Amino acid sequence: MDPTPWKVSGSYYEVCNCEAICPCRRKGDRKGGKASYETCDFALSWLVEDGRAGALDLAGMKVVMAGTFSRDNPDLWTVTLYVDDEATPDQKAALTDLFLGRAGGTPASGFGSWIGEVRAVRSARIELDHTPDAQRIDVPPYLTVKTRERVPHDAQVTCGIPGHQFPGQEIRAEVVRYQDGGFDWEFRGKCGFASRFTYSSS
Amino acid sequence: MASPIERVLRKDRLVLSMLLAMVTALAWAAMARMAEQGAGGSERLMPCCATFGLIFWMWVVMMAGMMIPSVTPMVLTYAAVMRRRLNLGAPYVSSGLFLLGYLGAWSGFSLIAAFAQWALHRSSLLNPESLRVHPLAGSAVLLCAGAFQLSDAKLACLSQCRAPLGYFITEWREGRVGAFIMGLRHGWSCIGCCWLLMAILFAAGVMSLWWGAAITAFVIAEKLLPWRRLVIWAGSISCFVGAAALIARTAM
Repeated sequence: MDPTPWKVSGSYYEVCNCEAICPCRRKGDRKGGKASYETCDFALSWLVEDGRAGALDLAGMKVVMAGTFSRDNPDLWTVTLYVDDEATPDQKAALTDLFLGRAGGTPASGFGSWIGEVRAVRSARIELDHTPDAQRIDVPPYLTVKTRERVPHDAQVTCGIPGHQFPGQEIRAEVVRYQDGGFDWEFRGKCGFASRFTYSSS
Repeated sequence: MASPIERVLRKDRLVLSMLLAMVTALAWAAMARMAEQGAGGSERLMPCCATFGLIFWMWVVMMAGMMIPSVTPMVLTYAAVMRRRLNLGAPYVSSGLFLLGYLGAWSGFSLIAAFAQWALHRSSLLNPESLRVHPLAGSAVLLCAGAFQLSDAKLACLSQCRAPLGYFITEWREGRVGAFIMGLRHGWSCIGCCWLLMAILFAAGVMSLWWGAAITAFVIAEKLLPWRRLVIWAGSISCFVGAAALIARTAM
């Protein structure tokens, strides 16, 4: 385990091919359930507003993860990680370990433990806009995500990836288009979620 | 090329599958021995002489043998998540506790089943040779099982049973106690799914290895095959056909 203490926080936005409101999410007191379809294809994005790993400054860095898992079989997530191409090699290494759950801390005991196979870690130009109800993710030529609208909900909605301590807003995506290696998906009108996140080594 | 973690996950899967297969084989060997002793008239296991404890133990072993094969994917997923969380530490003890919790739930079911068997015997409603209830009562059990197959409750429980990673994403509990409780709770939804299938044993013969194997195969198909609704319907129709056959036999 990496002994360097680290902490990152900022805004979070994700989409997947489930129907809104995503069945995985907690709604008020109601626990999450099972994915809408046999396969869950997803894209997650983090905009680090404030972050540090030891002496290394990570503020302003962008990270995107695209992946898939099958509802019915015992495999974990298969993912590809995209790290901001403006990151220095040290920053890239730190962000990779951190967001794949390899540097312990919050991600390792959460979504990091759901990752089985890492297809690739790529440096890429990442454009993230986390403006409420108008979020976008662009990782050319791999991924395009556009928000269509917010999905109203009375109860508080939370997701385990940014953490249940951060309530967020459910959205419906206009389009999610992804193509990289063997992965090729496009879906419209499916669910998404915007929130805050804070991950740390302890 | 597989990374170190992928190789470790693959090894865990192999080791745990083999261990689970061994436990299953032991359970079936014990069941076969008990069935043989019963049939051979050693009388130790016949309900007339068997203690309640012995009947209970027989049900516990039988449920372990019948349910471990279909809970295997769940245990493997649990072990993989645990392996990641422990940062490559071995997940075997907590996987064992998860399984123990699961079998604990089924032991609760076994207690009720053993009591039912004992009560049926005491009221002379169970054939002491075949360990079957009267064919008409058996057909009633099959009709109930066939109808339950098509209920919303069955579908809800089954979708719980069929989503290994989804279960851990939404139901995760920390630590070894958490492992046991998750196993227990998962076992609870499995019982919701399968209790009437197990009750069929009272129609088919409680110690019948062939019927036990058939139900085991069906449970595996229901939990693991992709054509969920087809399997559910096939199960339901088989139950109705079985019920009709029993009624026809009584009428003849």
